[in-house]
Amino acid sequence: MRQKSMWKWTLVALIPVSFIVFPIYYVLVGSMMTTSQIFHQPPYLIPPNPQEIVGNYSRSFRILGPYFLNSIIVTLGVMVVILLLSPAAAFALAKMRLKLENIFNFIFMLIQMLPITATIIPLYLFFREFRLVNTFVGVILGISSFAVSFIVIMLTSYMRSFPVAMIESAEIDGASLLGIYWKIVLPLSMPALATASLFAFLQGWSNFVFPLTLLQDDKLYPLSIRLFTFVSEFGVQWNYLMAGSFIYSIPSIIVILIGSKFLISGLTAGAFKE
Amino acid sequence: MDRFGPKRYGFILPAIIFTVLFAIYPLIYNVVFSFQDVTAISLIQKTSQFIGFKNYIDTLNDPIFRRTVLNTLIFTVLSILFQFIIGFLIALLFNKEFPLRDFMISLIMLPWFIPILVSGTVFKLFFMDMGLINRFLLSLKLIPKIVPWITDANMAIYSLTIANIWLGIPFNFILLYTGLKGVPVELYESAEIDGAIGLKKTLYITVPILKPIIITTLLLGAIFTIKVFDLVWIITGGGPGNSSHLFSTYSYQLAFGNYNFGLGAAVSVIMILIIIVVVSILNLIKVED
Repeated sequence: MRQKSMWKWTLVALIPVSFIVFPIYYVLVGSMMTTSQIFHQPPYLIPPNPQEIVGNYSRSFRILGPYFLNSIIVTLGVMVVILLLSPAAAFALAKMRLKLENIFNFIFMLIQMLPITATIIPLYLFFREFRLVNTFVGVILGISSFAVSFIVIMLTSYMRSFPVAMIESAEIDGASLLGIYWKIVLPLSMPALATASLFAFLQGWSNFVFPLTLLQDDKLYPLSIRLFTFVSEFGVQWNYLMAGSFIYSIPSIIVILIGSKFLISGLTAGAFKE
Repeated sequence: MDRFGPKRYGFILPAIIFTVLFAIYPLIYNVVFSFQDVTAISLIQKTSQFIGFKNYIDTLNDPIFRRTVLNTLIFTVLSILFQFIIGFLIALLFNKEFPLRDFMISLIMLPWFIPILVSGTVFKLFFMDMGLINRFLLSLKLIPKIVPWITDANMAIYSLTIANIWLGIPFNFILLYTGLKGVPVELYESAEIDGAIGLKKTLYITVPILKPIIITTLLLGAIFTIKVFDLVWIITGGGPGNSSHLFSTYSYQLAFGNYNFGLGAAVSVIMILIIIVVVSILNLIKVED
């Protein structure tokens, strides 16, 4: 009896959830139709002949194929930069009581508030001077310039909760600072580092504005920019665009469905930090 | 940790140097450029000069900029309002125990983490003249003829706001949902004994306890919304006829569309100043609590 009444709430919850998921569902539906079916009147909300999926996906795979590697390089680069820089800085902020701690904290917090346009104009002009425009390095540095500080803040609030005793006893045993970091702090931070990696992945994979601004050679485009140029180039081939968009979304969807617990705890920890 | 001395700074310096080099230094230069005549031509001829407040004066006299101010206001206020209300209602609903709840929470989080290019593209497909929304409403005979959602200069900003509300629901939902979980059940039980039900219970018990979290959510929501760039750039590109720009897209358009980097920098400095003012005001409210 009780069980039954609880399923009632599942049905109620389904209403807002369907509205929220609908646009993403429609990308999937669109990828299973021809363009004329996508624009059929009245509109199809379920694909009339889903076998279109084969043609759409194989065609857009062929178009997008070379750009996958670009997206992967950018994403891995962003992850490496973030995981090299952020955990160490978070350790320092959480446990070391540094003299300039407040200034460091301020810098990282400030970046969180900045819009992308606050830095992208000078960044573009500097990168032009240093020949970093049209390189993956430039794009990776650009994306990381915002993401590093976000992850520092997130990891700091996690590392603050570590028991000091463990670190102190290691100190007494004569462990070096690097040893403490490597053998105690990092292993203890594994759940937070997993969350940080997921975020780093999503940042690198989804970022739009840095590759849009810094890459002019279309051979270097990651999937986001390649898909952005899709419409103008192919006229009205929305079926390929939808198929390509869905392929591009799959890694993010997997990350969210598997890691949503981690992502949520990481986000709320960062947000409620005082 | 103190006995390790200056070695400790080795842990924070890489991240600090990186952030100063690639974010703080450009931020400062953005202000410098806003007082300079930096265009594609001046860069090639290396003739960029200080021109005082000219970029700012030009900006303030620019009718598109005035339109942009109004747009940003409409976009931000409506987005925050509706994201918050919808997110709060869903959070109240999910505060109950029911089967498949955790899975449905993951589904609600999707809009946040799906690549913005994808959500922007599908909303463009929805809002086009022959897009899904018009055909859907036409076939239900709810509208006599197509509604120019993103092709009419006066409507585009509202359509963009609708898309952005969708985008912001997960964030508002999850903060409020996490906050609600911290409200002790006993409070509700004692209120029920006193005869408080439904809306009353929410208004008089939940809202006051959640106040700090509500303010944090609104504060972060404001910061995120004023910053929006990608969504607008993908759906309308600021058009038609520059009618749907936000500060961010207009600044970008001036710099990378018109190659007037100085003017673009001026617009983005004005934007940063506004963000600082908004954040300070909301922070004051937060601190007063």
